[in-house]
Amino acid sequence: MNEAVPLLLLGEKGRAHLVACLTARVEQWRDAWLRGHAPVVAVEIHDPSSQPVDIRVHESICFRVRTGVEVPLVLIAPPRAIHELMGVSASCSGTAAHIRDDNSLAGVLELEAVRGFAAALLPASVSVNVARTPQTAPEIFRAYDAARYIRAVIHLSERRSTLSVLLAPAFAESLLPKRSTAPDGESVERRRGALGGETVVIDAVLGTAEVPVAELAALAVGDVIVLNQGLADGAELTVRGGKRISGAALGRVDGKRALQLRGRIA
Amino acid sequence: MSTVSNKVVSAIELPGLVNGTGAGERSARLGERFDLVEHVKVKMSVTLGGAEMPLTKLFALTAGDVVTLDRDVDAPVDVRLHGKLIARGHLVAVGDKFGVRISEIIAE
Repeated sequence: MNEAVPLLLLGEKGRAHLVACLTARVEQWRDAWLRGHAPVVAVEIHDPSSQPVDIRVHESICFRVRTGVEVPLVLIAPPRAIHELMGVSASCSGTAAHIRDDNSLAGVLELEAVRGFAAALLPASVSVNVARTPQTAPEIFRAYDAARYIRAVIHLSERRSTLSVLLAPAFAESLLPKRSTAPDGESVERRRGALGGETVVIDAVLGTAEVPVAELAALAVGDVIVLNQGLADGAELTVRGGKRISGAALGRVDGKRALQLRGRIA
Repeated sequence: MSTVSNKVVSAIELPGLVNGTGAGERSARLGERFDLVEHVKVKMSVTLGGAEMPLTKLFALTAGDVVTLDRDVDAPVDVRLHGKLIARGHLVAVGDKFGVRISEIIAE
């Protein structure tokens, strides 16, 4: 279940976008499920590693959403929020024990409500299957915090009920706009200014030669290695341990070797 | 000869192997048997020197710019194998190719 996290640096913009996206999907679902009734919905996005487990989730019911693709999703909700999802009056009280995953009408309705809710969050093409998990909410949080899942806390009906959704990083990433590669170079320029003071070592590579191990083992002072580089070819400038910068002509400046860049700069 | 057979075949199950538990006496270590790999070719590179520069300067490089290296003109060049210095030598011309006359072998 664990997977590497591409989303550690969500940033304020990404966080706001995720909130807007989830809010729209939840409201759209509630509008359809509850036939026109669209209560106030607020969504908070929490950094996975920085959020202590809310003591109120101890009484929550946990659902693991299985999908046709690798988009794991976990819902953690107190009974009040489950009632909200089902469209039952939020004023009715209940505990985790009151709503069971059984074949009763309430049990079926509960699973169908959660399934519909999960389906609204996920892409339309994804098939959704919901099941209760025997894990407790703290166990779930511990496991998924370790995997650094994004936690979305969704407040329903003027914040009287809340439920948590743990989003797989890849799924959360899919909800965000594609990260800009700054085609106009604007953001690159900003970073360039910050990096400008860093120094880098470059090497002047004259050429290479391939020799059998036997010849290498017998290499001695006075031997001549013939390189693949012609006298007219000059040398190459490379970033140490990195890529080629440019071809260059070999020369001297004040008694030191020097290279004059020529041709296309990488 | 046909490679297709209509004989009954059965699956082959390979035994699990654990390093260092082979039957019988253990033979001598393979050791530095260069004869096994003497034909294998390795690629050496020859570097003339280096230079350290700020990224701003690197980014500003254009064709025609001159980069001064950290080596004197008559200093030996480095012969490297996978980045590791193995020898030094002096530049020579061999026909129309560059060559390096080895002046020092670098000990391990």
